[in-house]
Amino acid sequence: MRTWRTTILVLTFAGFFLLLQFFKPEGLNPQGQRAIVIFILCLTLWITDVIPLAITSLLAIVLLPLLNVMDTKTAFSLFGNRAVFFILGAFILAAALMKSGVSTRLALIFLTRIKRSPQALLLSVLLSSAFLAFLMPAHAVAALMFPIILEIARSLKLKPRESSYGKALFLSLAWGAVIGGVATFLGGARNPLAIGMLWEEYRIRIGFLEWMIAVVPIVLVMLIFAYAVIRIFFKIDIKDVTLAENSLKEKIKKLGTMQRQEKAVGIIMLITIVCWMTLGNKIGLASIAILSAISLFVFNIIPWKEIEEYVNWGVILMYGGAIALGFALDQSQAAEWLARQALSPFKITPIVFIIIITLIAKLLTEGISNVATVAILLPLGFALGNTYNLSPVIIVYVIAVPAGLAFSLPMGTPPNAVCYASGYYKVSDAVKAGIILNIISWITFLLMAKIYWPLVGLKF
Amino acid sequence: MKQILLALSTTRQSPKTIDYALKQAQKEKADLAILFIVDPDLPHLILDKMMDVGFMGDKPSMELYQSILEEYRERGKKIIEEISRKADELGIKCSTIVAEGEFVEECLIVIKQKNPEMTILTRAERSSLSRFLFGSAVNRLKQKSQCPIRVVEEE
Repeated sequence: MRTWRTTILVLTFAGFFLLLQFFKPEGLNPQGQRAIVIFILCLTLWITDVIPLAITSLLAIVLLPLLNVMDTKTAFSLFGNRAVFFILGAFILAAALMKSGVSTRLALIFLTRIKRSPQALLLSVLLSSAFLAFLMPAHAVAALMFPIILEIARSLKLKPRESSYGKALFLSLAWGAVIGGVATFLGGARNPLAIGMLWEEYRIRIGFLEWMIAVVPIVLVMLIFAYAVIRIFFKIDIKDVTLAENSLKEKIKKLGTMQRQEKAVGIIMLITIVCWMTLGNKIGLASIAILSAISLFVFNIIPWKEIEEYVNWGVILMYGGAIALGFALDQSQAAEWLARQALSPFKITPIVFIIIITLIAKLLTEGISNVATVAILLPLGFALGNTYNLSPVIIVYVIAVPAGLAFSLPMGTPPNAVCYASGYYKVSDAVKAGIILNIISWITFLLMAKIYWPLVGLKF
Repeated sequence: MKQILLALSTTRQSPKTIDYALKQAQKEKADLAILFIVDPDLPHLILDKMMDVGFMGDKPSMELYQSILEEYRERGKKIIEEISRKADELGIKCSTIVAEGEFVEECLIVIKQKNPEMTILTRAERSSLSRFLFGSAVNRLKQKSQCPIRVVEEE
């Protein structure tokens, strides 16, 4: 593995230096040429994952002024992009939900609400992971629900790899979190990153509620199909789930009554969501997120030390760099040049372009992180979208939403990886059913976009 | 007394291999040493991914990692108990070891300690491309081991 990694690094940087020397196409200014070379370098490193994603982003931030693509002040100031602070605030709030136990209590409440039968339990796992992913990052949902689902599987004496119901349970957890994670800005950083890039390039906002109105109905339809695919591929091979029900009741009993900390975090989260929906455009999503995070400490709800351990601070590096790179491609007209090169041999309609770009997003995201998919495709999408007179808002939706929907490969997205690690299903189980769900979700997205979006003012 | 080593791990286990090892031990009138290796590779990969992509801090990532590893250990113990029970029924004397770490290294340590006549194992479920690109632990073990390695292939 080490040799492999070294080989890729050497080849990548050798390619980078060669391109810097020789990549000087006609019709593209020198800044644009260098912006594209840096983009190719970052794209390769993001796809191969040979260095941490955040470090690749740092590399972008440093190379852009070093190679005179933009001045240092602009490059470094993009780290302070509002999207980065929104993500930071949202992650602190998600950390508070996890640390206080609110998210675990919500998960258990969802799981115990639906009438008991194996079918109903399966549906409740799918729906509870999806709805929790409306409030917090999808892979945090997978991480917190993983021990609960593991406990359910143990209590039902399901055998790893043998039990069809065991496979169905863990895939429901993974896919529920994945689908729910595209519904709001909280389910994953790819959505805030996309709207951050939209703001930097076009000074256009998409509001919290606006996003939900466009995407939640699509998510609900996809959840129906996900349940259908799971039921078709994984027959229910148990008759009774009483033992699981008892196990869940025992867990809720152990939680006891809601403590002050839980109540306070719950209230702050509720107020924050309402503010995002109603005041987001006036005050700014990032300001609301940060104010809410601050209130956790001002009112002494959770100690800083405890939250600090729950947040990965490297997130700021990743998203700042991605936004800077997108901005550089746009400002240097490199994105426009790439779009012209991509388009000139073909004559396609806007709808065909949307079909192609959503397909590329879905394929890419199976292999690389959702965020890297958005960072790579969105700058190109904006430039290409311009030539088709497609609103950049539409471009954000048609890239960011499919980029969040990876179902087949365990390493396609962390919820898949976490559930695969349970050992209850094989890669081939997820791939077979996941391919079908990928196709269905892609078609569903396109149809809903064409039929439903015009009703809410999104036309293409 | 002759000894046969059955080496299993989180990703290398199959009923066929277990049955074969029991039959061999019975046929050779040998004791059976059962080694289960908890493979931390996959949880480690997930831990790295969770922290790299940027949502989870150290604490929840480590908690998840530990809960996955704990689950693997419990499963290993159950598998070993089941094999011991079957061995008992066949009148085979057995010893058990649960180890944690890299498959080849842990196998070599136990082979050195137990000095078995033969080590029986199966392959992890991987694609041929993956084996070609990243090598095979079973092949590496065959090269380094002093005792014969018998690989039970799945259909």
